[in-house]
Amino acid sequence: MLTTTIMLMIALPFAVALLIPLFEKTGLSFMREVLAVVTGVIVGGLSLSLLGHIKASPAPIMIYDWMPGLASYTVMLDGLSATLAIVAGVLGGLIVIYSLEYMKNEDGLSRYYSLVLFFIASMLGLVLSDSLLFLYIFWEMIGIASYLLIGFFFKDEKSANAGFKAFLTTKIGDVGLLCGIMTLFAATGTFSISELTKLAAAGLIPENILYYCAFFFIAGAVGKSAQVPLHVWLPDAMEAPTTISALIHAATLVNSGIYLVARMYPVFLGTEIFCNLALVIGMITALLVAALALFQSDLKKILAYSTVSQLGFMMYALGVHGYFAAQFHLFSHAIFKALLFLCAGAIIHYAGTRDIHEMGDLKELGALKWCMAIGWMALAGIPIFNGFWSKDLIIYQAFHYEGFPMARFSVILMLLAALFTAAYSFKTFYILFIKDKKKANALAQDTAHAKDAGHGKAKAAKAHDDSHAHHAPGMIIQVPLMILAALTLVSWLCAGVIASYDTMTLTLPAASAEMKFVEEMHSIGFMIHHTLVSPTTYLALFMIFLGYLLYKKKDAFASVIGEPSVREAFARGLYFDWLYLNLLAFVVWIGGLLTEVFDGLVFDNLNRAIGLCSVHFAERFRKTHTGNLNANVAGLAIALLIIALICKFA
Amino acid sequence: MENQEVINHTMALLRNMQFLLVAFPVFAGLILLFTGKRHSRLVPGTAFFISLLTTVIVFFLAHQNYLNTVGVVTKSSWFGSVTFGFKFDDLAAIMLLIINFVSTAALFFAQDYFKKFENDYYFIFSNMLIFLGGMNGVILSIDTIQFYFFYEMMLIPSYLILAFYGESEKRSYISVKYFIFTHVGAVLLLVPFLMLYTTNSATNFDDVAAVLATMNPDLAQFVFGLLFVGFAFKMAIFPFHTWLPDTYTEAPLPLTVMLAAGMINTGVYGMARFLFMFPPSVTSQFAYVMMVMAVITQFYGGLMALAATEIKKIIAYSSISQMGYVLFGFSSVLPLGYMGSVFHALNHGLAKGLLFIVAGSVVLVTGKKLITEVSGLGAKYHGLGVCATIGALAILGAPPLAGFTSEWMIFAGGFGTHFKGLAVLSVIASAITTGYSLYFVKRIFYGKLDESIAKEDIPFRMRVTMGIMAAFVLVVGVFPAFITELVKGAAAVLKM
Repeated sequence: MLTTTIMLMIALPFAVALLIPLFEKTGLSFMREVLAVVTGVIVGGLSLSLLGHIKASPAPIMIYDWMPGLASYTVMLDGLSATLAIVAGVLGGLIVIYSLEYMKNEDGLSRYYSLVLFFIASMLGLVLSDSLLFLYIFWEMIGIASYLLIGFFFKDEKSANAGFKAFLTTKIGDVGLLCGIMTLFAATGTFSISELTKLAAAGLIPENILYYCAFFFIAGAVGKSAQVPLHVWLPDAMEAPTTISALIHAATLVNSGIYLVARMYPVFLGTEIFCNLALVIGMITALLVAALALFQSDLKKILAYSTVSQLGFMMYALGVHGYFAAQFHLFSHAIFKALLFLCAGAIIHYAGTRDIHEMGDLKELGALKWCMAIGWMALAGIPIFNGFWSKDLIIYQAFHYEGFPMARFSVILMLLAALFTAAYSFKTFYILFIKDKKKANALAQDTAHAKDAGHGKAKAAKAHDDSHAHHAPGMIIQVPLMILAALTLVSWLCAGVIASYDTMTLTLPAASAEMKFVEEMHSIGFMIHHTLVSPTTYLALFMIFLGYLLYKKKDAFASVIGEPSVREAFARGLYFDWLYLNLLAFVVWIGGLLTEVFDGLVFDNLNRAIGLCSVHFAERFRKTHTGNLNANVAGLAIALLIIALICKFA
Repeated sequence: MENQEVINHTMALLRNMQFLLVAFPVFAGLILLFTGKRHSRLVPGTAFFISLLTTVIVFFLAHQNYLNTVGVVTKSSWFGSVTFGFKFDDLAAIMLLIINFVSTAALFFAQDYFKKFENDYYFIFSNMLIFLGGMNGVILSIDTIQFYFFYEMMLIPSYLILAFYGESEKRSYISVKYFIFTHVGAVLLLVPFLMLYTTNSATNFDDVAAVLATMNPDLAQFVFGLLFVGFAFKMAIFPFHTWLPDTYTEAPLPLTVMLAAGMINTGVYGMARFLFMFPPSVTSQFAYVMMVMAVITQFYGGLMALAATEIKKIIAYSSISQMGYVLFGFSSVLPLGYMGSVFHALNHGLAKGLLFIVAGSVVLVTGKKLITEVSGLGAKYHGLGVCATIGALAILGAPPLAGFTSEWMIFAGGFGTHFKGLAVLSVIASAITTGYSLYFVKRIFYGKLDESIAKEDIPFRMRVTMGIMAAFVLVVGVFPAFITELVKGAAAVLKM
C-alpha cells in the first residue's frame, strides 16, 4: 500500500509532465490546466496520506531498481521526510490552483505546468529518498526545474542570466555534495542513509572521512539553501513567475539544503565540525542577509533576502542541535513565506510594478491586505503566529546549547537578526499599506529614487508582471491565500504531532530542551508565560513601535543609516555579485589564454615546425637525387657496404 | 519439440551474424561507389537502409548478450598465425550500439545536409558506409593485425569526405592534419602489435592477453605506454588533442556526428580492451599519470570551450573534456570506474551527437558561425531549444538524462583510489562543464530574437533525428538497466 502510494506520488506527476506538452497544438489546450490541477490535488492528498504510514522504527522500502546490483531507489518514511513531503505536495497543489488565474495570459503554459509537476515529483523523490545517490539525482532535478522556471520568460535577457546564475552557483555546492557522497560511498560501499547511520553509530566510518565529508555536505547545503557565500542566486531568481518564487524559492527547493543537513545529522553526530559549520554559516547568513533585506525596494527581492535569512535561522538551529526546531521553523516558514509570495504576486499584478515605493494606493485590496499582514507578522515573530513559535524554539534551544564555545554570543547575534527581520517586515508593510501615498510621494521621489541603488533595477523589473495591471485578484487567487493565512495562524499546533513522529529527535541527547518546550506548548499557562518572557516578543514589538515613531516623521530608514555609500553597498548586496562576475570572467580569460598559448602558439607551431623540418630535410636530401646513374650506383654500393659491416660486427 | 530445435538452430545462426555488421556497410559502400552515380536518387535511401539494418542487428545481438552474456566468436586463419574473425561480446555491444545508432542518424539527415552536392551522393554516402564498416570492424576484431587493418580503413573514407566537402577553405590543411595525427596514433599501436607478433607470434587477442599477463615488467611498461599514447591520440587526450577541434569544426555535419559520437569511441574501446590485459601491477603504475592527464584534459577542454566563440568549436572542445572523464574512469583501475567509462562512451555519443546536430542546425539556419552573432533563437525554434537544453544538461551530467548514469560511476571509481584530491578536482571540472554548456544554450536560445537571421526552417530529417536522439538521451537516463547489464559484463575483465 505504502509502496504504491509513493510510486504513484512520484511517477504520476512525471508522467503527466510528459503528457502535457502533447496538448500544445491541439484544440484541447485546456487539458493542460485540467491535468495539472487534478495531478496537483491527487499528489497533495497522497502526501497527506503518508502521515498514516509513519512507523516508530522505519525501514527502507525498495521502489525502483534503477541499475540492478549497483543502485536502486529506496525510500525512508519518517517524521522529517513526511513533513517535507507534505509541504511539497500540499503547497504544490495550492500553487497549481493559484496559477490558473495568475498565469492565465502567459505564453508557454504547457512548459510551465510540465515543469511545475516535474518539480513537485522531484522534490517528493528527494525528501523520501534513503539512497544518497538518488538524493543527489533528485537534488539535481529540482535544480534543473528551478533553472528552467527562472528562465521561463526566456526572451528576457535578465531571466536568462538569472537562471544561468542560479544553476551555476548551486552547481558549486553540488560539486561538494557529490564529492561527499562519493567519499562516503568509497569508504563504506553503501549509499543508504540508514545503513550509514548504523555504521556511524558503530564507529565504523573513519574519523578523517567524516571530517572531510562534513565540509562537502555543508557545501551542498550552502549552495541549495542559498547560504552565505553562495546566497547570490536567490535574489536574482526572483525573475521567475511569482508562483514559482513561492513554491520553489521559498517553500521547497531552498529547504532541501536544510533537509540534507538534518537528514545526515545522525551520521555526523560524532564530528563537531559539522554542527559548528552549520552554526557559523547559519548565523552569518541570518544576520547579514537580514541587514541586506532592509535596504531593498523591490518587493520580491525583500522576500528573497528574507528567505535566505530565515534559512540561516534553520541552519543555525541545526548547528545548536535544534534538530526539531529547524524542522519546525522550516514547516512554519514554508507556509508563511508562500503566503507572502503569493500575496506579493497578486499585489504586483495589481500595481504593475515590483517597487514598493511606486505601488500607489493598495487600500482597496481588503482581504489581501489582511492575509499579507498575517504573513508579515509571522515573519516578524509576533506571538501567536507560527513564525513566533518556531523562531522562539530556535532561540530557546540555543540558550540551552553548550557545545559551541561562543554559543551564548551567537544567541545575541541571532536576536539582532530577529530584530532586523521585524524591522524590514514592518518597513515593507508600512510602505505598502499604511503610509499615505499621496502625501509621501514627493518624499519617496526624493529619497527612494535618488538613494536606493536597487531601485533602478526594480523599476526595470516590471517588464512581465505589469501586463495585466490593475486587476483585483479573483477568487481562485484568494482562496489559496486564505487557506495559507489560516494555516499560518494554526500550523504551530501541529508541533507536538510532528515531534511525536520524529524518531530522530527523541534519540538526541542535546534535544531535551526543545522537546520539553514542545511538550509544554499545549498548556495555555506555558504559552502565556512564554510569550511574556520571550525576548523576541519584545524585540518585535519594540521594533514596530520604533519604526512607527520614525515613520511618523519621515522616511525613517533613510535617515537612520545616513551614509549613502553604505546604503548603496547594502542595496547592491555588498558586491558579492561583482566579485563572482569578475571571478567568472577571469576563468573565461584563462580559457582564452590557454587557447592562445597552447593551441595557438605551442601546438600549432610545433606541428608547423615538424612539417617545415621534414620539408627542409627533403629539400636538402633532394640534392642527392641527381639522376646521375654513376652517383646512384656509387650510393648503392656504399650502402651495401655499410650494411655488410653492420651485419659482420653486430 | 522439433519446432523448438528449428528455433534454436535459427537463433544460433542469427547469433553468428556479427560479420554482417562489417560486410553489409563495406560491400554496400563499394557497390554504391561504382553504380551509384547513375542512380543518384536511390543512394541516400539505400545507405540509410543498410545502416538501419546494422543497427537492428546490433540491437538483436546486444539483446542476446543481455540475456546470456556469452560473447560469440567467428574465427578463421588469415595468413600465417594471424587470425581473422568477429567477436561480439558485452564491451563490443556497447560500442557498436552507439556507433551504429549515431551513424544511422547521420546517414538519415545527410541527405538534407548535402543537398548542394546532389551529384556526389554516391561518393559521399559510399564513403560514409565504408567508414561505418571500418568502425564496426575495429570493434569486432579478434586479432591485432585485423584491428589495425580496420583502424586504418576507417581513417581513409573520413579523410576523403573531410578533404572534399569540408566547411571552409582550410579543409585541405585540416584534413591533412587529421590524417597525420590519427595516423601517428595508429602507427604507435602498430609498434607493439608487430613486436608481439615477431617475438611471441601472438596476434589473436587471447594470445596477446596471455603474453601481456606474463611479460617482463619493463617491457610491459613500454608496451603499455605505446598503446596508451596510441589510443590517447584517438581520444584526443591532452596533449594529443590538437587535431580534434579543427576536424570537428571543419567536417560537414553528418561526418562530425560520426566522428564525435562514433569514431572517438574506437579509442575508448581500445583502452578498455587492451590496457586491462596487463597485470594490475603494470596498470596501476600508470594509474596516477593517467589520472593527472585525465584531470588536465577535463579542465583544458572545459576552459577552451568556455573561451571558444565558434558554435561548433564549443561542442568540439567539450568532446576533449568529456574524454577526460572517460580516461579518469579507466585510470581508477576499479570495476566501477571502468564501467563508468565504457558507459560514458555511449552516453557521451548520444548527447554529443545531439548537440552537434543542434549546433549544425543553428549554423545552417542562421548562416552565422560565431556564438556572439546569434541570440533568441528559442522564440522561433522551440523544438531546437528543447533539444539543445536536453543535450546540454546531459553533457553536464544532470540526471535523469544519460550523462549522469555513467558519470557517477566514474566518480565513484575515482574516489575509490588513493588519489582523492584528483577525484575532487575531477568533480570540480563538472562545474566548468556546466558553465560552457549552459552558456551555449543561453547565448543562442535565450534573449531577444533578431528576425533577420532566422528565416530558414530546419530541414525535416534533422528535426526528426534530433527528436529521436533527445528521446534516447532521456530513456537511457531513466531506464539504464539494459546497458548496465552489458557494462557489468564488460567489466568482468577487471575481476582479476
